[in-house]
Amino acid sequence: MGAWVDAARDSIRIVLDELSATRSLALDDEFRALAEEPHWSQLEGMLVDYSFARVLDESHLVARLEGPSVESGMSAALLSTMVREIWKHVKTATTAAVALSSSPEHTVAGWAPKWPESLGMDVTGTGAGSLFLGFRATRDTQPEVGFVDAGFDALHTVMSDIAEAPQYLTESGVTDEIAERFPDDALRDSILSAVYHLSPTGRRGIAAVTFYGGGASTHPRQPATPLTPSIRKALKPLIDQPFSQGSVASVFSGTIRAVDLDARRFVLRGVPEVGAVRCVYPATLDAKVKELLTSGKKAEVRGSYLPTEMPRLVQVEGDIAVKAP
Amino acid sequence: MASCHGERTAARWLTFLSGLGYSLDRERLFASFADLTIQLQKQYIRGALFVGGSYVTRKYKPGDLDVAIDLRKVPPSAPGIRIAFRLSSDFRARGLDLLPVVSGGDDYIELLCRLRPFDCLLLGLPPNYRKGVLQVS
Repeated sequence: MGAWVDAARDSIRIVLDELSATRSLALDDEFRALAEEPHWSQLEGMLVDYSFARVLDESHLVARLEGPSVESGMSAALLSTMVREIWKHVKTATTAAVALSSSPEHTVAGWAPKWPESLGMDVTGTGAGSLFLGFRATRDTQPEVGFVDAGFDALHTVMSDIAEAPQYLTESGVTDEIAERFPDDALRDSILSAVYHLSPTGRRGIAAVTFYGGGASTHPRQPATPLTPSIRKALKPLIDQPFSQGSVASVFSGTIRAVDLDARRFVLRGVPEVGAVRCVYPATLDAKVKELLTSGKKAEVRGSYLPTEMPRLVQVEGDIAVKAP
Repeated sequence: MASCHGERTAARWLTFLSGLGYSLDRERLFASFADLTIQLQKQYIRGALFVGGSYVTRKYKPGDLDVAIDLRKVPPSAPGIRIAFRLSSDFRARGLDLLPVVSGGDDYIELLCRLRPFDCLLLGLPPNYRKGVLQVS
């Protein structure tokens, strides 16, 4: 077990020792009950704490939901929606992370990751006090070729990153330190996109969602930053247009993969001398992107990127052309 | 967080504790605690009192005030033990969690120093974090 459960167990042990010592006194029945009562009362609270400690230790990601919908007892339908939403955005960011990976087996043009059934995320439990939801990355023990190994590692990493990224957010945007923690422009954009979509709008009666890393990562050095509608609003311009100045234009050709329809992003793979780039596209290209994803035809994208050593995040400008075979 | 080191007079600590009654809820809890000390004095029950729980944190509305009274030197058959158990039961409704310690080691102090996992998580503290406990001798 982990540190949370160890601490909870130790507290329970102390109370049990005290209870046992109290019982060893020769007290009559009336006073025995009075003497034991404070210990039983402590134990009741500690058993609730123990169950919560297990959720913290067994999870890779813990979400705390706050707001009117939670205070009044959350409906099963809303709870189910929240779990689905978290899974959807964790999965999208994981798919992007694997597609952006530079591993040789994942850089072959035409490689299309189909999310394997053996890879998933379990709800480890819930905890009282607003609402806590614990999630754990899971995989079958059966070895499977391809996506599973890289996917499991990426899934685990994305869950930690989603918990860590909010500390670099403020109500006026992102802090400069985020670039040090997430130096890859594409992966940083992918995590910020997930965090943006997981930030509450406030419309469902959820006022704040706070993420914790789970297990050893829930031993923070500072309180976690809650995602709120204000944070969502502050992130919106960055999601719509990740960069506006200091960029250079170029043409990239490759195969469209890992499309994120919510964030209007895709990964262009098999780009000569570059590998894979994450592209941000406008709404006018929705149909074109879907068509190219389905057909598997090579695309030629004109766009701008920040003048870094290697382009990783490209803002599409103009149309996307189908590249002749 | 508050902490206590060394030998200080009970009156001084009581003054300090009353200073922590800066909200209505805290004021109410301190009034209960002050009544408890009067009852203990009236009954000639002498033992070090240890105050822990959320009252000795920055929490504006602490749910209760945790107190342990060390009665390990009092013979188990002495009437003071039974009175302490009775007081523990009576004061629970007034927000005091009084734990008469009649045997065992010093682990109960350790227990008063601990925070619940929920509080640790929200405050950004590790699971093994220990806060201070006030001793009123």
